[in-house]
Amino acid sequence: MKNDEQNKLRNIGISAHIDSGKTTLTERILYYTNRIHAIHDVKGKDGVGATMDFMELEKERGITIASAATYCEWKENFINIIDTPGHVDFTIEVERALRVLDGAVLVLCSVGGVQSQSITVDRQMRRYNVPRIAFINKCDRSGANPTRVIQQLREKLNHNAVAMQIPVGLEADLQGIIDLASMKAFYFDGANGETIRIEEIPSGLRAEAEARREEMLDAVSMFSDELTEAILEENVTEELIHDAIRKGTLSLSLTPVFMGSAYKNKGVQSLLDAVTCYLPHPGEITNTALDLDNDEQEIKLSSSPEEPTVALAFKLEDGRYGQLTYIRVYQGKIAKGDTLLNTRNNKKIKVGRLVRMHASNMEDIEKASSGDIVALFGVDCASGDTFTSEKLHYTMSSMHVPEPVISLTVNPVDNKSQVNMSKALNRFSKEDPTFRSYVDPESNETVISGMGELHLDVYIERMKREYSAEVETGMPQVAYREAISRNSEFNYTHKKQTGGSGQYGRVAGFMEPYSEGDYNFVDQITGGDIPREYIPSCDKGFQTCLQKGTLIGFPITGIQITINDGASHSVDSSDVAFQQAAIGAFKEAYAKSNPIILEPVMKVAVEGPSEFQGAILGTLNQRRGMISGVTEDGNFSVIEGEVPLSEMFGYSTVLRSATQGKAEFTMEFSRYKPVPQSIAEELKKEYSEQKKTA
Amino acid sequence: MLKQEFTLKSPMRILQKATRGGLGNGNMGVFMARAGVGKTACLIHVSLDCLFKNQNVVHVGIGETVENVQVWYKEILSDLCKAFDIKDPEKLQEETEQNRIILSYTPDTFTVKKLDRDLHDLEEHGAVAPEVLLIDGFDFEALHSAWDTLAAFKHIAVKRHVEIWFAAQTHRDSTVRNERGIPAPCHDVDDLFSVILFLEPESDSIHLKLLKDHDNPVEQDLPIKLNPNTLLLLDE
Repeated sequence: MKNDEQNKLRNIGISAHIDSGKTTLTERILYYTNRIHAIHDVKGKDGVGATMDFMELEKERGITIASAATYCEWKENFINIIDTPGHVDFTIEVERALRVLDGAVLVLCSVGGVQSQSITVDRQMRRYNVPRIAFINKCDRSGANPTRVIQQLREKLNHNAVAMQIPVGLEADLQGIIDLASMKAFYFDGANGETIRIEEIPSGLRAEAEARREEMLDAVSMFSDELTEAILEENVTEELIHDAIRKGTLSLSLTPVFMGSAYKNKGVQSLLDAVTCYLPHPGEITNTALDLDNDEQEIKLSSSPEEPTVALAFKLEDGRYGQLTYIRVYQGKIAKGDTLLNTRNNKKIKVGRLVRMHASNMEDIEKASSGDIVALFGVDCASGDTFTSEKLHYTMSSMHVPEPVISLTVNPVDNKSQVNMSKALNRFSKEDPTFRSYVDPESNETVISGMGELHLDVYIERMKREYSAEVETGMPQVAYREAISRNSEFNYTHKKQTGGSGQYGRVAGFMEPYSEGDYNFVDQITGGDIPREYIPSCDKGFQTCLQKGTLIGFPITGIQITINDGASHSVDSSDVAFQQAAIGAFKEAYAKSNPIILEPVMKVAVEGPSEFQGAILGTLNQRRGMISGVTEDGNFSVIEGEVPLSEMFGYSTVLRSATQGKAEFTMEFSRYKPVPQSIAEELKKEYSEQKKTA
Repeated sequence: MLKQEFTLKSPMRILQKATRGGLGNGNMGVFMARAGVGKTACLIHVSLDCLFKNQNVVHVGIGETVENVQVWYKEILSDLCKAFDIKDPEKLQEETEQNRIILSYTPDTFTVKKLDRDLHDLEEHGAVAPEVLLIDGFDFEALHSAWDTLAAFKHIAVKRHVEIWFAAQTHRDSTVRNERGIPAPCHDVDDLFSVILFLEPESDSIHLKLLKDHDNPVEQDLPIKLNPNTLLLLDE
């Protein structure tokens, strides 16, 4: 891709709260950019479903689960769009999308406004420094209030949000929009809003438009001295306004706000203009990689196609065309027939088919350059792998991957399902780093773990549908942890003499709570009390114990173990002897360290009409919830708090019945907290019963 | 550790002495100051003082988001931890969150009736009965009937046996004072408050002046000087 072509490329994400209309908006974008020739609804009456929701399950539930990348062209610009999921259980998808994007459209519902998931998504965007513009959708809905949404963008998300448009009519009377830069009214005629009619501003709205333009100029002029001067000289041009908005947007200091109704085909083309006008091209973004040959030193990547290649695999899919690997090229270019290096495992791969994706359809291409988002066929890799030219050994900085907090057992109903299930699990773990699976060595059952109930539900459904793997599932199991709450010392001698050479090792030291990580081993042995070669054996012995605590059999975290004394025997000491000594020492000290059980606690936000506030508070209180805040805005309340994950199973049903289905909730992992004594006792009792029956 | 030191160094101690036991349930108090002097920080000091004594606190932010108020607490706790060289501010933060609830309202939709309903909901369904209420962001000047609204707050204080603390903004150029020396905007409503405090910035400290102490005569020159960064008592 030449530089001028790269300048015309936009890699954007469309992120928002569930049901804000992202998928509908994407569908309209594809229609107006001639990528599709008919419009389908998300929950389509025509049984087809929106193009971006290509997985069967997504079509059925009306939600977007996996990101689908698609490519389109708008007025000589090229746009790669990643449609991202709106439910918090799938935030790894959102995070992955943000990692490879250069800009984003934050879609907000004109009635619901800034909801809790919008806040989460926005926080993620900030983490990846993604410039964004906002689109207030559903202005045709009863109760639409774009002004209130802009206010919420300022108050709740701390955005310097500035309206670039005002609506002509609202709710059922929505007719078009007024663009405050050109001071023209835009109407979207034709069966699907494809014909744009530009007219003078209706006289009844002129005064409001002028006032709002003044506000807009006031905010935007902060980013351009030229515009400020032009305002003083009353010589403002559209170009000056666009330049200033662009500067503000790219520096993440301004969020221009657009509006319309994707469903009613209003305002989408103007949003596309804004995407190409205000969001950055790949050359304007600084991307870095880590140099594995140079102590992971951070290296700034060049967007030049002439440099050696660096690309990131950010998504895998196993579809009807075989395995598809979505990649973003950060530096250099990729062409059919090239050989690349996967820097995770140092394996070479050959680029076979190279395609541009359009939801579930694709077009073959010969090459892709820096900035491009394309897909490869038949490449064996994991999500998050970096591909480089053979001469480089770079890795893109690792993505933030949260630890799973919930698990459940899955048992295939027959042999065929057993085979299919392992194929599915293998695929899912590669596609999604927050989804894990393993076989419990004690029960011999397969356990899957992830970020929430819905997250796992979706994979179980996918196993059935895509892999014909019928499985029975156990009860969801919370990922408890054990930890110590005070220091204790150990001095343990492992001695065994059963004929032949014996085993001997003495290990002494102390263990203490550790807040900076899961485990830290400190070696303070001096004078060879324990020979150097057996120090790693001690470490290994301790780590063996950490895998399974003695209270309820869950891993032990937050512990530092220091060894400062010991003894060995010239003949009987060995690796195994010191491992056994460490295990003995651990058991001795752990019991004295007042071990406690920790449980994952979720940050929960429930939103609903204020009349149900009491009922919502009640549901959280019954679940050992700790309310941290209540926000009231008009007749709408958001209740935030922390609730143990173990209490959240089935909460959606409870909430629905308590609020006549009018409230919704989101949750994300917050932290681990000690469980109350009574519950700890119950868990211990359950564990000891399990052990007895095992 | 911090709890003990904070309790000793908190301006609340001297205030409690000066006001012969503090504000008391059913009463209202107010911190007055110009913008940026530390009214909100003082409210949070009151709050921390109560939270460290395991009292339930409801912090009402009018025009402030829950997240912003949380950040205030975090910042102040972190400053205090630095001042007392405490290594683990997160643990303390967790402890203070146990008994604290933040209620956030937009200024145009806030009513005392709504607050009363929310407090009822919290008590009835959330099993939390506040002992101290903090009201930040209440605009004493915007309301034509500030007295009526504050009287409604007072009713809540009495009905729910809680202390209510406010923050009121004064203006540098305003010379309005009533005959009892209470400056605007509290000059017309001082009868509703049991304790009125004024924060006066000085070159290297903040002088905390007691303007009203229940029905007791006020000792004009209380030696309460606060560190402008931490709002802790300065050693004389």
